[in-house]
Amino acid sequence: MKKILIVDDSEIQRKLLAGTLEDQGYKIEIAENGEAALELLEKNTDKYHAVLLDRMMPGIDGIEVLKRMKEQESMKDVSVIMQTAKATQDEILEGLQAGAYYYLTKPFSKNTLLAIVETAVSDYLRYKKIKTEAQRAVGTFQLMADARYFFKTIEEADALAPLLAQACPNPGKVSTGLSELLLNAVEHGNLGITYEEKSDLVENDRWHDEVNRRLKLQENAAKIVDFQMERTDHEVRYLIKDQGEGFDWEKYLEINPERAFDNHGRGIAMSRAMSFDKIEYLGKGNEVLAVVKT
Amino acid sequence: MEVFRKSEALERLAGNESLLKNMAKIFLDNHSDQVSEIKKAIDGGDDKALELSAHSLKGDLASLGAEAASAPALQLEVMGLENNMASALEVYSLLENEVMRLNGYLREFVDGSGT
Repeated sequence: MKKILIVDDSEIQRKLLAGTLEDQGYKIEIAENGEAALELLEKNTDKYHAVLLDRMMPGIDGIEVLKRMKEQESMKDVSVIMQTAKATQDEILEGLQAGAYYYLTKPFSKNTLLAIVETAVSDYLRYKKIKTEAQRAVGTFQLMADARYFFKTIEEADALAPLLAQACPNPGKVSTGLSELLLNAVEHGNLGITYEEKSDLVENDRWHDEVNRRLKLQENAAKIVDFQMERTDHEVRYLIKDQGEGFDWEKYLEINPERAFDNHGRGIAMSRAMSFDKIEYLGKGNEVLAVVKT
Repeated sequence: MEVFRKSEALERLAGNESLLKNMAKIFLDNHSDQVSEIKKAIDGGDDKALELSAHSLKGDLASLGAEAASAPALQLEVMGLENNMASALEVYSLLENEVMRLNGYLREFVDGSGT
């Protein structure tokens, strides 16, 4: 069962969040303040799929809880959904910089709450699976000088990310970023799913179906993603090239506060912040170079 | 401004009236403490405490659809944030009145006679 920790000093908000999420089958635990949250998190490493964190609380506030979570290896991967006021974009920026990639404003609708919780939980589970696969020791992969793969599907992308991440000293960290870039190459690159289309598909739980539908279209039949890895003396370089039209990549290198409430669109910025030393888009944006210093 | 936008609050909860009633009950039980905290912060000239207590009340009011009371709560939060509490008592008394009006609506709603 998916477990959510709710951290909020308001009893009404706790009732609202817990009531709504329990109805959807989530298991809920409650902390009434930041101190209690950290205590629960420390005791229950790896137990929560997401933390719904109120930003403004007496005592240790949400930002401080987040910072302490990010400092600890056992807690830093748990998805944090920050509850904040939409008007204060500085607060969102501060949260993004501290590592909160999911946002919720009060008052929120049931659908908005469920969409952001589902996004945060599914990202957490996907990253966890990919990291676990990447950390299975295949020592000889670190000796690999170069590699080249051609692939088409999301499933192939998910299989290649943990495999090729093993060329780096910290495969767990690199695998999640690679997974995001490979996924983008298929869904946005070759299949041409736009940002707005994905928002709608995720909201209506139709994303997988649409990906599979587009994969079968005649116009996409021959499209492949070219994925190359090369080791130099001091770095591992990943080059990913799709056959799409490219995109306006610059705005995705950072999470814009205006997009912080969306149900997707964090992948490139999260990869850049967490997985790679450098990400560089080339040409019209259908080619990306990601570098890990070794 | 409306005192209690029940239909809007219910719409956000996808029509879950019992959840909204539970939230209203908590508010009826707790609001006097929340409002007292705001008064205490103003009396003590504590801008940070005013910001926090008004912010917390504002969030609850917004979730309940209490439009009229949310406005002075927001004003007080901003006064705390900007450490500009010169007219805080005036706004506080407005908040007190709006919360009192809201009380009546919520009590009717919780008791089942609200519209």
